[in-house]
Amino acid sequence: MASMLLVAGDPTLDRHETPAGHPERPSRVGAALAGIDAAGLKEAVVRLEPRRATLEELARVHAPGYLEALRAFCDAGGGNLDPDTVAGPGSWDTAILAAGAVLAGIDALDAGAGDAAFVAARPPGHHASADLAMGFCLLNNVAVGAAALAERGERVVIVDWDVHHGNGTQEIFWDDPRVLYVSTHQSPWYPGTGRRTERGGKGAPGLTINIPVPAGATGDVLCHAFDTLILPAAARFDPTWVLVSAGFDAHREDPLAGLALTAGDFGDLAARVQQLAPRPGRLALVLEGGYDLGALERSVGAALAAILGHHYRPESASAGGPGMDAVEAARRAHEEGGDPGHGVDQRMSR
Amino acid sequence: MSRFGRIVVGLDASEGARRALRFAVDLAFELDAEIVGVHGRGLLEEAMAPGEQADLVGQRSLPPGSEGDESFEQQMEAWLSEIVSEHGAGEGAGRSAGLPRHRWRVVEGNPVMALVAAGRAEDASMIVVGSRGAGGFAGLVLGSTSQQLALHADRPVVIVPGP
Ligand SMILES: [Zn+2]
Repeated sequence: MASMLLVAGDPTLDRHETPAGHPERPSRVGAALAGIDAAGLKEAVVRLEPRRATLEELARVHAPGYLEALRAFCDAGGGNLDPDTVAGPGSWDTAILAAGAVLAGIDALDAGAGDAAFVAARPPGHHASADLAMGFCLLNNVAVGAAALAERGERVVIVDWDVHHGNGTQEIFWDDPRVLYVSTHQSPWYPGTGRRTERGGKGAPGLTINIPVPAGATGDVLCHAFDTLILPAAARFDPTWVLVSAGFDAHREDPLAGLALTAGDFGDLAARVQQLAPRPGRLALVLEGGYDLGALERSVGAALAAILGHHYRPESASAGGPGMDAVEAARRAHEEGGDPGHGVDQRMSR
Repeated sequence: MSRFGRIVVGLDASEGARRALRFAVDLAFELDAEIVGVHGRGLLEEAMAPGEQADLVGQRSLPPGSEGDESFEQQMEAWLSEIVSEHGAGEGAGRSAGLPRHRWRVVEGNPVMALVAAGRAEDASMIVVGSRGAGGFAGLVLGSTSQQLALHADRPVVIVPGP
């Protein structure tokens, strides 16, 4: 049972400002960290020194030209990158600190400093592709971490339980046999990718698993997805590391989506991803979405408490929503396979 | 159908988008092509009430809706009628029929991603977008849909400049 929690990310260095009223705001990180205290985990926490990801580390997943342009865009004052995504003068530094926090967490775990890591940093990352910022994301933090591990010969599972499909992460590892990418997400919904027929490229068939579920889906539906599809598929992949794109916007109170999870459900999901890790010290949760501050605090607390073996369940689990049939359909799509590459017309890189 | 088949046009509620549609209408008549108007519906637009998100990032988008959404279709039909009547009818073979052949689609995602995908799905002969005045060199590369599209698209992109 895990007992030491490494926490990376420093909100005092956060200079990524978004316009008033924008849901992806600096106070999110404070709310996530407050969840650790609310869950009574303070004693178990080791805070890690902040560090910045280097261009070399970022270039494992991002195009050098994109990195150069993003830095120049921020330095020049920034602006809108798309109708959802903004960057300002402090955004580049904040973004490389967020990606660096994932690397700091991984390295500290690798050194045996703790049993699990939580990266509480922003902006989120899973929509960012190799060369396109979108959906509030500038750099793909979890992908930078997974690529660093893969380069050391590790086999990495990325579990993405954010309510939105992580199109950027999927695209980055589409053809990469070193990484298994699994996503549960609301569908139809932004960003429109993540159909169950999207299963990975020719070099990594079946190593992308998409489990789209309808609006209103509850925690029991996602637990069923873990028990019948994600856990068995991950066991076959035999990972040496587990990274979680831990968005908490599938919570029923989140303003940006329509799933019906509770904080207790996130505890149940976290207990399951812990089962995926081959041993203590090989599990890192990376914050993605989560836009209701109270729900974010409770959900982070419940998830981390479950991993540390503490009892903290501010809300009981939810059940009875739609989506069991969608999980079954995803399981069949994964097991039956099909043409690698089918259903990928939204990929950006060629 | 002509060898130019379909022209995908990137649409939102901006003046730039209206200029792009006007150019596409001219092309559609001249080339006997079909217009496919595509709107990429973003994360905020999908989740928030009409107008609520417009001020957040300074870009006007359309009222939210799904594929076949009436508000989007109505607004675009109105623009199309205005554009065709402004230009006058009767010149060129296609014009006697009134409006050019056209369809409207709302696609979830970032506008660039939506237009790249729609261009492929429709096997479009080209993608037409309006330019937005994002300033500075870096802005040209990263801050405008048209420039990003030019980098990412796998078919010709026509960028219609401002007046
Ligand atoms: Zn999300």
